[in-house]
Amino acid sequence: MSIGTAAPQPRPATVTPYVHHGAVGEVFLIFLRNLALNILTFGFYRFWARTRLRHYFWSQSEMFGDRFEYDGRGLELFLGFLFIAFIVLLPIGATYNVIATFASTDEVTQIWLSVVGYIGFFLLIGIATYRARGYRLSRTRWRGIRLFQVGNEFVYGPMFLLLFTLQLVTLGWATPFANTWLERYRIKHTYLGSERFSFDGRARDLYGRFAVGWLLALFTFGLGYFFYKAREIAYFAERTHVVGISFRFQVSALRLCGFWLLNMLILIVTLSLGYPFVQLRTARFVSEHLSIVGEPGFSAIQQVPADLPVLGEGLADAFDMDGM
Amino acid sequence: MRSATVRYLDGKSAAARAVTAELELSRLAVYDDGDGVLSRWPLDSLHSVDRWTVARGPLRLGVRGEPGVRLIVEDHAFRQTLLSAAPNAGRPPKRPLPPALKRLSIMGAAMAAAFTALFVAAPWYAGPVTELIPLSWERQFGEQVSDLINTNAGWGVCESEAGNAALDRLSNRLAASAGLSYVPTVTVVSLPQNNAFVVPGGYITLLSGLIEQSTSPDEVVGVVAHEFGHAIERHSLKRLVRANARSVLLGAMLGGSTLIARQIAEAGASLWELQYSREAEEEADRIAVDILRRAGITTAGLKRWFGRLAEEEGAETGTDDQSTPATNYFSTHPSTLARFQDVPVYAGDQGLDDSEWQAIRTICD
Repeated sequence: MSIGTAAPQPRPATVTPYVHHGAVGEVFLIFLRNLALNILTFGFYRFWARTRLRHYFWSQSEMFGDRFEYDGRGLELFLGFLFIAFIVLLPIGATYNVIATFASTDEVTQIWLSVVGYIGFFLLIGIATYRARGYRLSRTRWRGIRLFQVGNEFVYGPMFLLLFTLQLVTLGWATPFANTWLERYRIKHTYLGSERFSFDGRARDLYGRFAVGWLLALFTFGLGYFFYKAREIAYFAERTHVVGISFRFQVSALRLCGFWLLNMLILIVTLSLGYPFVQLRTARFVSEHLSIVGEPGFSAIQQVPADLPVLGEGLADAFDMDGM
Repeated sequence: MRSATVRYLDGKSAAARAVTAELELSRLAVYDDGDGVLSRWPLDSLHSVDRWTVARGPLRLGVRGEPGVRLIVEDHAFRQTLLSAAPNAGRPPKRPLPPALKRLSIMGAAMAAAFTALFVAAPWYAGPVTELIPLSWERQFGEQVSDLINTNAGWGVCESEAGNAALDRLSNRLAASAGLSYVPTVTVVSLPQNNAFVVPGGYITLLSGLIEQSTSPDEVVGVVAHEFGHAIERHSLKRLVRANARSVLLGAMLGGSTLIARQIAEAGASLWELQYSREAEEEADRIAVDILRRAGITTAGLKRWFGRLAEEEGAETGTDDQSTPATNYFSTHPSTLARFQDVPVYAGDQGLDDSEWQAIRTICD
C-alpha cells in the first residue's frame, strides 16, 4: 500500500498491481437475492439488481490501496430504460410491425428493409454502448474523485456502425483499425477528475500480429483471434496514459481463450443466469493480469464539476448489455 | 483506543494524507501533524461508503454534506471504536433523491401509466386504428396470407370451372347485398373438417368437410355469409392490430428481462383475446343473418348448421348443456347452442341452384 505524496521523484517506473477482492460466497448471496426479487417483480428488479452487483464489484476493486466506489441508483437505470422504451423502442417496434405486416414481399423491398434494419440496429448498439459507459464512469469515484466521459455518442454510434461494416466487407482485416479508432475515442474522452486520459496507440503496430491471428483463425474455428486479441489488450493498456501512469495487461492467448470459453460455457449452461459469476471471473482475471506502471501525480488529480448524465442508459438494457 | 493514524482524502484532490483521527465526546477530529486540526465532524454525520467493505476490508467513511471526503480506517481496534461510537459508520448513507431525479420519477410514473393504459386499452383503440389502414393494404396482405395458408400449407386447393363460377356468383350476390366495395374470394381446400375461415381482405376458405357434411346448399351459404360478417367488420385485421399492439408494448416494456415474464404476460393477453373473439363471432352471426335476409336467402341453413354442430359437440362431451360458464369463458366461440337459438329464421331461396350446388359439391373430385 502506498500513500501518495505531492512530489514524486524520477526513478524507474514502479509497477503496482490492480487488485480485486471479490468472493464467490458474497456474489452468490447477492445473486440469490437478486434472482428472487427479479422473479417476484417479473424482471423489473433487474435495474436494482444490476446496481447492487456494481456496488459490490466496484467496492472490491483496488488501485494504489484505494477501493473504487459506485454511487449509481437502480432508479436511474429504471427511468433511463422507461424513457427509451417509450420514446425510442415503442415507435420503432410499431413501425417495424406495420412494415413487417404490410410491406410487399418482393425481394428488392425485403433487401431494402434488411439494410435499414441493419443500420438501425448497429447504430443503436454503438450509441447505447457509449452512453452506458458514460453513465458507469459518471457514477464511479476513486479516492473521492469522480470519473466521467465527454465526447458524443452521435459521433461514436455512426463510427461504430461504419467500422463494423468495414470489418465485414474486409473479412475482418479492418479489425485493428476499427478497434484502435474506437478505443482511442473512448479513452481520449475519459477523465479522472481534472485529468484527461490519453491514448497513443496506432493500428499499424497491430497488423503483423493480426495477420498471423487471422490465418490461424482459419484453422482453429476462429479461436486464432485470441492470438491477436491478447496482443491488442496488452497494447491498448500500455498506450493508455493518465497523470503519468500507463497500464500493463500481459496475458497469453491460450489463457485468454480458455477464460473466454469457460465464460461462454457458464452462460450457456446457466441460461445466462450465471452472469454475475462471469463478472466475478472477469474481475479476477483482470486483477490477475492488470498492473499500473508508474506513480501518478496524485495531487494533480483535482475534483472538477462535470456535466453528469442524470439517468442511466436505457438502450443498453433493451439490448441486454451490461458491460463492466 | 481513542485515536489512530488514518488515511484522509479531502474530496478536492486524489492526494491521500496520513492524519491522526481522534474521537472526542460527540465528534471526530482529524489532525495533520503540521497543520493542526483539519476538520471536526459530528459522529452521526459519518457513514460507511458501501455496505460491503464494512464486513471485510478497510472501513471507508464518508461525511454527510461533504461529497468526496473519505477517511480510510485500517487499524482494527480504532475501527471497532468508531463502529460503536458513530451510529451510521456501519451503513451506507440514505441518499435523498435529487430534485432532477424526483421530477423525472414523476414523468416516469406517467409513462409507466401510459404503457399500462395502452396495453389495457388495446381492444378499444384497435377498431379506430384498423379503420386507418387502407383497404388496398389489407387486401394485399390478405392475399399473401391466403396464398401462404392455402397453397404453401400443402392443402389441396379444389378447383373446377363450374364450381369456381358458382362460388363467384354467390360471392357477388352476397357482396351486393352487404354493400361491400369489393368481392371476397372464396376458395375450397381439401380438408375433412366441418369448418371455414377468413383472413384479412375477405379471403374466405371453405374446408371440403363443410360441403360434404352439409345436407343442403343454404347451410354452406349461411357459413359463407358468416365469414362475410367477419370480413365486413375487418375482424381478423382488428385482431392483428390488437395482437401487434400488445406485442410491441410488451417488447418495449420488458426489454432485457426474463423470457418467463414475457411468456406470462403473453399468456394473459391471449386469454383475454378469447373474449373479443366471442364478441366477434356473435357480431358475424348477426351480420350473416342481415346479409342473407337482404339477399333473399333463407337463414334456416345457418341455423341448421349451428344446430348440427351443437349436437356433435354434445355427443363429444357427453352433455347437451354447452353453456357452462367455464367452457363459455375459455372458448373462442360462444356456446354453439346459444348461437343456434339466436339465429332468427327468415324465408328465402337456397342461395345456390341445383346445378351450382352440384358443381360445388364436386369441386374437389
